Amino acid sequence: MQQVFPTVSADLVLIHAPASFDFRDRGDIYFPYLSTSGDVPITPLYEYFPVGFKTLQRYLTERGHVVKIINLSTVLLKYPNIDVHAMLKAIDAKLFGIDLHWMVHVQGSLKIAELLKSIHAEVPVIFGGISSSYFADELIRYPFIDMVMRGYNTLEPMSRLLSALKGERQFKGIENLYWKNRRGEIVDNQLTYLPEAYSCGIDWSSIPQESKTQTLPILEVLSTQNAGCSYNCGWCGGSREAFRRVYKAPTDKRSMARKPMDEIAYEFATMKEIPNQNKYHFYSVGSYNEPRSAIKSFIEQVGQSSFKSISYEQFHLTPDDILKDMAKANKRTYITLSPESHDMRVAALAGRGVYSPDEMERWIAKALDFGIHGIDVWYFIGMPEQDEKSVWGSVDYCNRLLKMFKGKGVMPLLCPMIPFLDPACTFFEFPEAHGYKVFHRTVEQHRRGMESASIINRTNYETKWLSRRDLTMVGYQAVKRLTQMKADIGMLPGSIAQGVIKKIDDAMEFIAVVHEVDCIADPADRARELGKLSGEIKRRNHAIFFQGVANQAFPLDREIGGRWFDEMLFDKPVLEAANGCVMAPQHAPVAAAQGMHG
Amino acid sequence: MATTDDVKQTLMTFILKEFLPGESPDELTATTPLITGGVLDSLATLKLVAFIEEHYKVQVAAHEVDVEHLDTIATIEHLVHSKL
Repeated sequence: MQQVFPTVSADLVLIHAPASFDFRDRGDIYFPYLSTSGDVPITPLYEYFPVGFKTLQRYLTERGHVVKIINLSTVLLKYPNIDVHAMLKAIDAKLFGIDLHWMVHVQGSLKIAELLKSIHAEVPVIFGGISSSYFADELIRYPFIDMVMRGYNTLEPMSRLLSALKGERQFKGIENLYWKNRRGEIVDNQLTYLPEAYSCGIDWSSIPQESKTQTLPILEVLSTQNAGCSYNCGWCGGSREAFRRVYKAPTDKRSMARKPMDEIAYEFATMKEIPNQNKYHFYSVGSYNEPRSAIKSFIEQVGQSSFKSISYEQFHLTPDDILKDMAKANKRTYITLSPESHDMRVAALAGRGVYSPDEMERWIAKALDFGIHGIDVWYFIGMPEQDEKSVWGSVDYCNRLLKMFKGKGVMPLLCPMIPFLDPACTFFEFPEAHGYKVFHRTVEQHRRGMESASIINRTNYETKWLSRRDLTMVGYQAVKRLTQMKADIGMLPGSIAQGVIKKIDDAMEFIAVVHEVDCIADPADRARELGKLSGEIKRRNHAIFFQGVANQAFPLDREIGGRWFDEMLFDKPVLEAANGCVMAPQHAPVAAAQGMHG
Repeated sequence: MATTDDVKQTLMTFILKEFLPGESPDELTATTPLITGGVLDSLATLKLVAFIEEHYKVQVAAHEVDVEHLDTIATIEHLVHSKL
């Protein structure tokens, strides 16, 4: 039976593609447990879309354009039997916008663009986001991509583009636009719109709401106060130098753009309209880049809100007066630190190393005394001069922190940096100088890389000190040991920790099996051997995708839906009806999950 | 075996001490919504389960860490007793 979707009309439909478009049917790509590094509650489809979708929606709507968002990742995770072709066919738009912010989406974004072009040949497809800006020259050469909009603030150029699409279709004067004319020739309007201000405030008053879930809901909103960075961590695609490279900014010019204060105030005002704001966690992104006056004003506004809790990212150890203000503004204030390594030399090479472990310990004790509710401390895997011994040193240091603070107030976390080193970051641009080797450089290499069966081969870099295999396997072992430590100290229930450890052991074992097959040189032999694993790969992938979403901090599967980025465009009854319309057995999530665990 | 009241009292003491420091004990009853009411966030919920497992020497299954089983002291007490 054919799935039926009502026509949805808009001037611009923004589409967030899953990292792997055809994940439902692929038996030749294995997506293991925690392969997103486990930092945020998302699946390996990376369903987190860039906040630029929300700012574009507000700005363009206020200028008379109709803008709608669909997170295809979320839709397909919640409704795995949806016929994507039928659903996209029901969308009547003047322009389709696809984000390629981080390269992990490259396979899905290109596939969706190709599919859209096959369905709506006359409707232009435009790409945007950090990676789109960086790879604009290459992206525009794909036959199914008509335009690329570059820039960290594309609000006004996008408004002008939509007006042009409704009018005489004259695109020549639209800054930052890369496009193809009627003869198919590529026209570069030049990346010249580089305003002082980063974006506008997001209208948080209407975000996805999920009717009561049985599992603990994931209720969080965020505020991104700037693009670019004052700091220059060599591994980071959002760093000072990366910003300048992506946006072709002269080196003597600024390396970041700030959101105006009145736009931040707008965000706080709209957040007040979120139903049950007191049940939401508020995450402040990049607050370490804000000048003192701005952070003071920000904290004041936090104090006037009723969020359940708030996290601030901090680069340096926060000064006492700010700590006190933060604690006063919300009684459940968390601070996120990222020293990256316990080893000061490694930390410094990673762009951090601005405080020693001793200094941090004294600061944590003080912060908790001031009433800060908790400190998250992140350690990375994949930094310069970081070998396996150094990773274990960081794990041991995590144990010291857990014991020192008796499992209260301090949450150490590990982030294996997989699968990608960000394009434009210093280590990507100058790998040899920093002991790195980059395997995928171009868009097409990244796309092919994402089609590798093995996560080890999907990873786009390795270091002189940790091979791709080590990055993956040592990363898993480190997370496994940290999980056990948290259970030992009473931070995690023993039964839950054992569940995590079992999943990690299983993932490591099966990664090794898949990797061996993925490395078979002869394509026919490889395909044959991979075919033998296909059923097992699908079963495991379905357990990862359709049982819910977990992360390291809360390693229990939770229902998908109700996260701020879970925009599904169509009404729930429509999606449920379509999903139930054709029940392909290979997409049945419950059956798949049961198959996995017997 | 611990009585219903014993379990409730132990849970109440733990929750007040760990998650509601400074609050009046009168504010917490057997039917106060803990998860849906915002008393327990995800990390606090894990800590509570860790305490239950350690204190009562029981195992809580992953699927039991949810609103149905952990939203009030009464439902938690029921969960604990079902395992003793």
